Amino acid sequence: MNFEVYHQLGHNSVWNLESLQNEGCGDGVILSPRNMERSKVEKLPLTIKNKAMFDPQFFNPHRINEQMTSYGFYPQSVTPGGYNTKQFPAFSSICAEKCIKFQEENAFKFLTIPTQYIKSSTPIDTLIDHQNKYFINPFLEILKKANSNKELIVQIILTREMIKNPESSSQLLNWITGIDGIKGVYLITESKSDNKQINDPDYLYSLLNIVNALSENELITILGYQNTEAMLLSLANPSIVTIGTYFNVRSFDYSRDYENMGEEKDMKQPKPRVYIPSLLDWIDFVFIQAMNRKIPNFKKLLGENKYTDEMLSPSYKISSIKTPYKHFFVEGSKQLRNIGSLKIEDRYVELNSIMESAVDRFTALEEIGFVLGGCGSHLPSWLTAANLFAADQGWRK
Amino acid sequence: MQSVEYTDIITQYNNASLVYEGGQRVVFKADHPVFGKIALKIGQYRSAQVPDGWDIERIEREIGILQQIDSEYYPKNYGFEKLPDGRYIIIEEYVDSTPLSRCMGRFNTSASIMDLTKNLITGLNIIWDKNIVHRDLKPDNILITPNGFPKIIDLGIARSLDRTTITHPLAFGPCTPDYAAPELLIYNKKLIDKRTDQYSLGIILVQLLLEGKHPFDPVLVGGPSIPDNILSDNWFKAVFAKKEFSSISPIAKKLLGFQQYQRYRTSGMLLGEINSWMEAQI
Amino acid sequence: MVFATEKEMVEVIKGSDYIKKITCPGPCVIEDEVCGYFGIPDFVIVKKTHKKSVSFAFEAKLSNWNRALTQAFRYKAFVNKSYVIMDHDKVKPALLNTEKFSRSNIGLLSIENSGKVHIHYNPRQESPFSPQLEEKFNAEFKL
Repeated sequence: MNFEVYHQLGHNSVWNLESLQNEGCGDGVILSPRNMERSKVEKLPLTIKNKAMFDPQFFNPHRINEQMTSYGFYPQSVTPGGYNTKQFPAFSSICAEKCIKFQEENAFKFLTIPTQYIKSSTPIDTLIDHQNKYFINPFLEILKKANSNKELIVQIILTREMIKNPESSSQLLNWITGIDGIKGVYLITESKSDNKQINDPDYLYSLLNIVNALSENELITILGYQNTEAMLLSLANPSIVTIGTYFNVRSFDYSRDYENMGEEKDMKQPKPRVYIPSLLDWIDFVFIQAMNRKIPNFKKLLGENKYTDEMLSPSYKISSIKTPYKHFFVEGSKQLRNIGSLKIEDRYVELNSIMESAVDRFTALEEIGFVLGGCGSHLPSWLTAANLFAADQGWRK
Repeated sequence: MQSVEYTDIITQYNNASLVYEGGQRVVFKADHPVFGKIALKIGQYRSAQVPDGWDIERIEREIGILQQIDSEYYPKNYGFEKLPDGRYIIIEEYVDSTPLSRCMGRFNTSASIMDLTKNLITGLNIIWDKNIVHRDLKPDNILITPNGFPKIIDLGIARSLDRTTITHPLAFGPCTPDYAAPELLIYNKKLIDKRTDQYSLGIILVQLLLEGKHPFDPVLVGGPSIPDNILSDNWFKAVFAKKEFSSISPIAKKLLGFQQYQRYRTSGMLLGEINSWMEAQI
Repeated sequence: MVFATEKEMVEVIKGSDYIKKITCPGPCVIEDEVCGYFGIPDFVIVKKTHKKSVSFAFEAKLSNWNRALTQAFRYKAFVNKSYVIMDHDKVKPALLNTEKFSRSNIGLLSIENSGKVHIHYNPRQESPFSPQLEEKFNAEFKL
């Protein structure tokens, strides 16, 4: 089954929207109230809204920022004194009602039930009780009365420990698949990887199994905050994967991005990196120019599009990050669409081939003299996770 | 055990004949001027004077559920009375039937077994839709009419997922251990949902394929006991080596998924697979 | 005897005869921890020879040669010659991998506390691989 590619919107979402509307990159968007205030969302054209999922982002109900205040459905707008763990259940239905009303009025593709980020140290039973009491049940009650025909999605955040612990992940899967009335899950996973690319094969293999279980339960499975690992996770038959710009929309990190929301210092401009599809990795831009000099037909490796021409032009300003991101939308979404068009078993064969070629290319680059640090170091872990998963599915002959 | 007094009650009915007597309970078949053939169940409920009596809360719970249901899959309940003298009376539809436990041999083809399974799911769906879990599905609690149609009985330990249970937990929690899902055996109340009944149905399905042998029986698969084998996911999968049953294997294996997420999330998905199986046989 | 810190090692290198040979005679600039390019080298040297300038970047590491190599490779974006300098007492693991240094054209030096520098690989002079960063660097360190 083919999957869709959605833009995970964050800062400078105008680039994503341009890419979606003008270049056909992607199939929809996931809206972020943290980055886009209410009136801006309301003004989006219906053509975007009908293909959008709105994530209410109740990750940290204690804190919201200025943009989120404009929505009026967070505890800070509803309960006296803001969010309070003891008080909130009395007001949760009001938040739910306002949040659902906003989503319905804007004709998004799905209706999303939010849940909170819960630390790994919390017992799973307690986590489930909390999410049911504070979010899922109040929202389901309101939705019963609303009688909407939209598909209902529940947003769930899984931490690294929850994913890697078989008992925890089973408990969570039993719970998620037992929630009555939902059609899908918007899964946000926190890998806490030391590197830009996830290189823990056990984590990746466990996550593949979780996504597969959700998909086998015929739940629409939306994988948020994806980096290049969306390619790998395509083996587990998700319904939607995401692509994004800055690293904070290509990876989820609660303590980095949400724990102290509203107190953020000015964002440092990230170093420009360029996605090279045949390497399955992002490479610092400065190396691109050297590669262009040293590697014959380098443009083909980078992907032939107008952004490649722009970046390889001698007059190009390397400080720009817009063009590399636009290049990623073109090449990244193309790569995902290609793999998505294949039957699941064939995806494994193709992905294996891409990963092994990428390993060979990194070796070739090293032999030429390129020292790219940790770039490409994630590939053995990905190959391992893919092979283990494929073996379970009976695809390895 | 003292038998329950019933003479004063049955004299009010025509053609009353004893069907069953034992354990503080009697069942009569009789004629009712309005409902036709009825089953008249008279029993002694538990009290300080009669500690062996029936759990009246459990009976009331069952009656409450049956009175919400108007379905051919459940015996119709026509009335219930709790008498101050410690007795209760249940009037319900008389079903000419045999418990499945005594007529498994009637279902001796994969088609008849899957047809029965489909009927059971359709019947269970009626209580699942009301957010009620049976929790005690077993061959004794499935009555088979002369034309092979099932009636589901004994909703005494059924649990509404909306309310807290009122049954007293036994060693395993309220259930029949040999047909209980793993989550029922460890009595994790929070995990019990409609998929718990699916597991019991899975045991019954495979038992029918095995011509009455229990798939978790130590005689077939070793192990100390049936409940132990359920808890270690140890059952006789070799039944699907038989060519005629191999196509049923995916359905049975999914019903017997150790974890609930490994079973069918909705009854629609389960019925869909059974219907696909049936279409493939044509 | 090993160096206690990288900072100490950098001071000894800068005072060594090896560096003096690079910097003298003629106009040159030595600058510590230059930022805004690609990575932050411990120090850079720009030396004017005849009509052209030659630029050098140095990455000092007490022991982690692999990390030093990665960082030194980045400096080739804006300098002509890039070097890794290691504590002489801990250079052996790097010496087992000199082919990596020669392949990437990164110099490998080691220094003793006395200031004596050992040259294990001397890189070829090359154009930096980022013309824009080279231009920016040359403008900042014009001689």
